[in-house]
Amino acid sequence: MQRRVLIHLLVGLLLFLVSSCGDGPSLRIGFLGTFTGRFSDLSMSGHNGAILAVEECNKAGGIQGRTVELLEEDDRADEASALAGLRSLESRGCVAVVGPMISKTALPVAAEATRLNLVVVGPTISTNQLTGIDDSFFRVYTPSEYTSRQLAREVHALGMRRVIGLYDLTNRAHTEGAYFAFRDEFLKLGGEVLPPITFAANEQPSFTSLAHRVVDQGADSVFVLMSTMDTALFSQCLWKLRSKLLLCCSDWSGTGDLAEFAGRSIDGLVFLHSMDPQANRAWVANYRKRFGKTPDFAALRCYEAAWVLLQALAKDPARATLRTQLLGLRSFQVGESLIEFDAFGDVVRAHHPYRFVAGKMEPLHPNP
Amino acid sequence: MSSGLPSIRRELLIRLLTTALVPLLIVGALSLALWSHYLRSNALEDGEHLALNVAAELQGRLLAAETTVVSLSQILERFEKEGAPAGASDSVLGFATQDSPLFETIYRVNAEGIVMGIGLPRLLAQRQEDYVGIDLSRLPIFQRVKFEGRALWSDSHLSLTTGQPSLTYCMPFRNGFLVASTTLNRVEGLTTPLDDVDEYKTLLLDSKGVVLLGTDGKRPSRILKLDHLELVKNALRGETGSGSFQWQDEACLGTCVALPQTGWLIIAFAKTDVVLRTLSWMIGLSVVGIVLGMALAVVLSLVVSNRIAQPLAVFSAKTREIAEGNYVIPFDAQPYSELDQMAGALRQMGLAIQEREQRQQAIEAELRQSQKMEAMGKLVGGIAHDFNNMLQGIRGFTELAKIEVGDGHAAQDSLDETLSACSRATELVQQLLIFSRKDKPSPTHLELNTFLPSSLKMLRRVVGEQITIEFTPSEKPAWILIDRVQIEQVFMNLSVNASDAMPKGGRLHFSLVHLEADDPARSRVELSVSDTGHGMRPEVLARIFDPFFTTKDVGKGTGLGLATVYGIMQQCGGSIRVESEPGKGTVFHLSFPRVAAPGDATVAPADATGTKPSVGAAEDVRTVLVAEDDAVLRQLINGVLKAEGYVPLLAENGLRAVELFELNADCISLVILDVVMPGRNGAEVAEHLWRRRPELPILFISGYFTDYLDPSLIPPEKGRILRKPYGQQQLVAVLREMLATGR
Repeated sequence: MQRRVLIHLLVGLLLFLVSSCGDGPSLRIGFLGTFTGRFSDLSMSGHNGAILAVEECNKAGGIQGRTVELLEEDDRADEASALAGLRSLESRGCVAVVGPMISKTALPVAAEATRLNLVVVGPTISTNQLTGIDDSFFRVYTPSEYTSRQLAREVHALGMRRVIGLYDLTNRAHTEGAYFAFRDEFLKLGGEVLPPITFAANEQPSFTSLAHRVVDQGADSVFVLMSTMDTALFSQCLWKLRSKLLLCCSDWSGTGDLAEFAGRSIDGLVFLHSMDPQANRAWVANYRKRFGKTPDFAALRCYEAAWVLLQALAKDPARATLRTQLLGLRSFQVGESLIEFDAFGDVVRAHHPYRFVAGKMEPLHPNP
Repeated sequence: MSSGLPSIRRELLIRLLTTALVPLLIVGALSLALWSHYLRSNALEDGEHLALNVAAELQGRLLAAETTVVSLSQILERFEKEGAPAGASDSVLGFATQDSPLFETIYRVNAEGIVMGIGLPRLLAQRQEDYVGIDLSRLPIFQRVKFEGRALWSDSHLSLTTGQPSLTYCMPFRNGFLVASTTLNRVEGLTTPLDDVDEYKTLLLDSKGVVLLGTDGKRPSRILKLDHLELVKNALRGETGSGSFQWQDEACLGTCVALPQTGWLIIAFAKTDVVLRTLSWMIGLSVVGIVLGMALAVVLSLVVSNRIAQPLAVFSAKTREIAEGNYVIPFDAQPYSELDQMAGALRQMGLAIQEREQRQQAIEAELRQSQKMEAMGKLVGGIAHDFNNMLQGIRGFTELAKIEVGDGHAAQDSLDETLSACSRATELVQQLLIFSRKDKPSPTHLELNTFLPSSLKMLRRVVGEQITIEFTPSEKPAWILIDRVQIEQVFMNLSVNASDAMPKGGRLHFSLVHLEADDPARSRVELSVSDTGHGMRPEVLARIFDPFFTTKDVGKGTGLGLATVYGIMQQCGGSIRVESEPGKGTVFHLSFPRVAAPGDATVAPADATGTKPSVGAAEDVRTVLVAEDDAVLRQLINGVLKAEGYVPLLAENGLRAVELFELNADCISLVILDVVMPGRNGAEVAEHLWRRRPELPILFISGYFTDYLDPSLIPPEKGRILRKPYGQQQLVAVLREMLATGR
């Protein structure tokens, strides 16, 4: 008996000496975002949202006792980098990916993720080109087919009857579909849609010229589909021309940086927002406490996308069965948000019209 | 073999291993822990030192950049004072940005935040119109500087002009501000990579914990936020943060300090495995040392346990040999003193057991001899008693017959021969009684050193001149308590035997020694009587004390000599043993209890009887009660008494004697009691009679003294003893004396 106890003691001590202090096997999920260039604002806040979700999960004990680790890759807003980033995340052991953040990179990523059987949840992807496809791509954002039509109805309801579209061709996957849906709906409502003006953000267009061209068309409103920075600069240029055009835009333009860079020119801008700050008050407070700034929709959508993955992984942390898990569960409650996938991993969620007043967002339809 | 008890070998192995390894493991673990702590502390200290150095260097570079903006502000101010033409200021701003190694965009902003002029990089120079007139009043850095009224650096933000992550330096200028932005690409090199400094690296973070410059001194390819690290949190609180963290999937140890000017952070760190490299070596060395130590401890333990356990197994086997009777066992030299002592003890134990066994065998032999002699003594004693009674009868009636036939009768000679034969038979019986210890001796104090020489004179005549008698006295007086006649009998018998063993002469040696004992009461005097005769064979030696055993020719010996010696030695509390081998002579060792000297001199005992010759017979008719179980003797006494005019009352046993006494108590003048009788013996009858008549004279008659009667208990004033066989005249004389004196 004595010898047995002695051997156990010796083995235990040796194991204690030999074993390193390394972490246990963590569960990795990836974040594929645009951290370079003019589209990076969306990913920066979105990344914060994903970090917040992972931190909350780990604080609650992780997934089946395993710590969750968030790995990042930059898609530089181009397809090749996005694919490289996705493969990098896969090779680094990620069981799922949150991202990408713009539709331009979402198309090739969705195809590659399906090939790799790696679940990808797009937090802000609205392109209609991924709607109704049986693939490994999921999203927590409503396709622009729905949001653009809603925005068209809101703009029409504000009395606008002559609208012109201005959109960025570098993210054509999003902008064209969104524009066409808006255009069709506005026309259906009896409005007039002037021929759109397009540009490529990567060709360094003159926003002063674009502003002049829009103003010169004689429209009463302009629907812009471009990044936050470009929207801010275009808005500044319209403001300098003292234009009275109603500026309306999609969520893509509506990150937190818009108000900072657009200055007073942003006041009056109407846009459709997927985040209801009132409904998500507690979460917003958490985010502000954690990151010291007000979250935007990208942050919330990334937070939701991460938690959807974490909830499914909590049932079974295996990468191979994750897609089946997601489609089996379908419905996920994340904070105040209820996310319900259809059979193809798409969602249709409520969006709310807002207007900037004195640099702050205000609901277009205040509650009575 | 398995008894369920732990094995010494295993116990030793376990305990030696434990003793060897536990301290090794404890000391090893403690050393590793202390060394790890020391290395970590050193690494963190070095990291802090480096971080502070880098911070100081960075502060200097930022100061240089700020100086550029300050210089620009001075130029612009001079232009305004001197009324420079419109556009001159914009040109200066353009030149400043295009020539500046750091700033890519410099806005001149009025107090409301409206851009009044801008210097852009060459690539965007044509787009100047897009930016002039725009409103920057809601930029956080603008609002902070406006609020604080002093120049500040921003955290990382996207550039409105390039869309790249940028830093902005904003300073108040006249009624507005100068806002100078630089992309993170341009600030690369603000920190110098420290790869060559003890493998340390640095990171530059903004005040939100976003990495501005990576370990290579360049902007990271993606946004990295490290504000969740404890060391960053501590640094953001204004303290020096230090600790472990993960960097690019590797464990690192680092220290984080804040730059007071900008709020940015510098982390200087190194990979943990590099910092603790020596610890890894130490762990490896320790493991190797422990394994070697274990192997060595196992080998040493086996060696030591074998060296201890193997001799124990040998001891066990040899102990079994001792148990089987092999007492003299050789033991090899032992490796340890304790084992050597144990071997010595086992050796001594074997010898001691052997000695005790031999002693016990001797005692058992003595006991057997003693029991044999005891049995013979009883047999001989009984025979002698009966012989005595018969001799008494023969003698008594022979004497009566001599009286009856008268003097001159032809039968007188025959009767005299009969009486002579009776006397010789009586002597023989006396010897038998001595051997059987039925005869009561009269012990007296004798000092052998003085007594022996006087006896030896007589012995010289007995053994003849061809035999030399020698005597070696002891160094100090040798007092013993013994019957003088008996000791002379002993000397005589031994000398006669020695003489017979040395027909052609030889040497007879008497020597005295003292055998001292711890208890003086147990000290003894040993008299050795040795001869140079032919010795005895063992079978003879075994029987020499048997009565009637003799090696002499028929008629030459009675076979009672040594039996008598044996009886005398037993009676005096001594012992006798003999050593003899054929051709080597014989030695008798006589051991006597030593006694203290009786005062100044040897006191010869008083006459046992103290009998005084009678001076005349009592004339009165007296009634004498006679108790004798032997009918012949009873009738003999009856005849003697009647012939002397006494009236005898005859009783055949003790009970009858008491009855007759009760019937004639008043008229009985004297009582003759045989000591040994069936029913009540003589002593018991006497006790009864003396209770009734304490003055009553009683004559005890006995062939020998037994436990029935102790002569010393007979009051001399009223009791006497007459030993069988006695003469008729002797009896009459005693009766007359007792009746005359009343005792």
